Amino acid sequence: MPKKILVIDDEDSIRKSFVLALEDVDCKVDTASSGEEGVKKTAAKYDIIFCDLKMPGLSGVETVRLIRKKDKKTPIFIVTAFSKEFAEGLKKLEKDDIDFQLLSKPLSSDKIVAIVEGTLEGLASY
Amino acid sequence: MMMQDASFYGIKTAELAELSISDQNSIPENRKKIDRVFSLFGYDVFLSTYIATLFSDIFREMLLGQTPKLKISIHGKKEPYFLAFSFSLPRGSGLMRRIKCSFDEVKVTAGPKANHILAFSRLHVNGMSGQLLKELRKALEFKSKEELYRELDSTYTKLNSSKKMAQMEKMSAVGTLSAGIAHELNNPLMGIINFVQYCLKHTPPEDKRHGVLSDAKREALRCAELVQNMLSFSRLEESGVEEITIEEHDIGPVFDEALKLLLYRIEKENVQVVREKSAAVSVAMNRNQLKQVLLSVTSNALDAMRLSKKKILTLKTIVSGKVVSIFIGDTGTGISKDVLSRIFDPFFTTKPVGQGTGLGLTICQTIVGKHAGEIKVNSESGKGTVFEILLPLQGTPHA
Repeated sequence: MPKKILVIDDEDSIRKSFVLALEDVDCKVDTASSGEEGVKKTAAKYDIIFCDLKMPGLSGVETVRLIRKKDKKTPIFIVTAFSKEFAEGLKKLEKDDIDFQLLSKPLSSDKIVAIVEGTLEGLASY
Repeated sequence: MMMQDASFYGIKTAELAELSISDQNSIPENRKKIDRVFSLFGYDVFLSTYIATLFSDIFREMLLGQTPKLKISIHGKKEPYFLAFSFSLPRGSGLMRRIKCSFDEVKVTAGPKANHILAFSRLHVNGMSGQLLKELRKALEFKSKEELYRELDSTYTKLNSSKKMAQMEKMSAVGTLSAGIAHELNNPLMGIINFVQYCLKHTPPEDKRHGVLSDAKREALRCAELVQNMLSFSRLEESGVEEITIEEHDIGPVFDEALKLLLYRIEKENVQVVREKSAAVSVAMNRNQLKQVLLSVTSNALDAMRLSKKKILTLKTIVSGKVVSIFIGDTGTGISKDVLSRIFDPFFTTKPVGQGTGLGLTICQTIVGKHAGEIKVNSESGKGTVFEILLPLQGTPHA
């Protein structure tokens, strides 16, 4: 069964980047163009979630917080170019023991694939 | 020397403090006054003879109709004392060069007709009693003492720090700008890289377009590198020193690590490394950041020697007082004067397109600054360059 990945990003080119990179390795990629849409989509089950940090409306920090209310397990990657305005929010997420990992942009498709494969293998070995 | 009252000098306080010259006729008289001041100084204080003779020239050249005022005061609370001279000089009088040579520090404020000059000269106090110094100060007083000292103190500090301030302001502005641009560029750039990579993957290597796509990918990656540099620079600008981990480390091993990363180049390019042994020196630093500085400066040194016949990289660490100096010297092309003044400017580079982002030294300077240190450069065109990285010592050096 192909693995299901959710990409939440307001930028079309980023969403497409993930789709192109991951569909090539037989993943099924769903996208959401806002935090709100992303939260709705997580009603379905995903294997990995990528979420942008800086988005209009719900920010990445808020989106991840909402997703984690229901889903404690799915690995979530927050994708960002370092931005000071969210440093506090990210620290708070960590403090509240909300599980996530940070990835810095730009991400090449090789790296995206490596992260996905590495994460799935890691999960499988548990 | 017996101290008497201020009249001992034969000059009234006000006269000494503020010699006003309203026309040329008064010059000989003023000259006399000044001579007396200097002859008095001569007993216990040795002023550069340059300055003594310079003053006669200055007065000779003063414009008619102007009322330039000469103010003399002693500056400093302990040695070295400075004599501060404040006066105006008509523009274009040709004396500026001599003034600049004669004084230790000269600050010029340009006016439409005359330049106002504040010059400092080191006072060589030779066995001068504290009492005499006090009297001298008193004699030279023309405003409230505190006011004058404050003024001079701030001017003197400004003299030293204005350059640094300007640089810091520039850094901060560029930091903000870089961060903005880099953030905006990051997303589309990520798109470009991935789209190209996708096309590349689905184009057979024998297809002519494969090469073109490879070129496109390489160029996009170059942009990504620049963006990363801009981001790490702005991050440095944003983060206070308290946000980075500072620990005591011995400089030696950090230097070793930086050199290890360059070993391949050093061997390939036949560079001779002269490393002077030094005692272990512990400095409070962020290890990674300092390593980055050493790496950057050393790698620049290698770049500078690429075409040199003699390739010697000299590394040494010298402790003097509470400061440790790390010297990184090369026998490369050297840096010309006009370039030297700009090497720390963001985005300034003399390297060929694609080989330098012009942020390396800017980042180094910011890092060293965050460590309360300083970077100095000494360079001679055609002979080579020596970078000196000064860092404050926390503990005392231990062997």
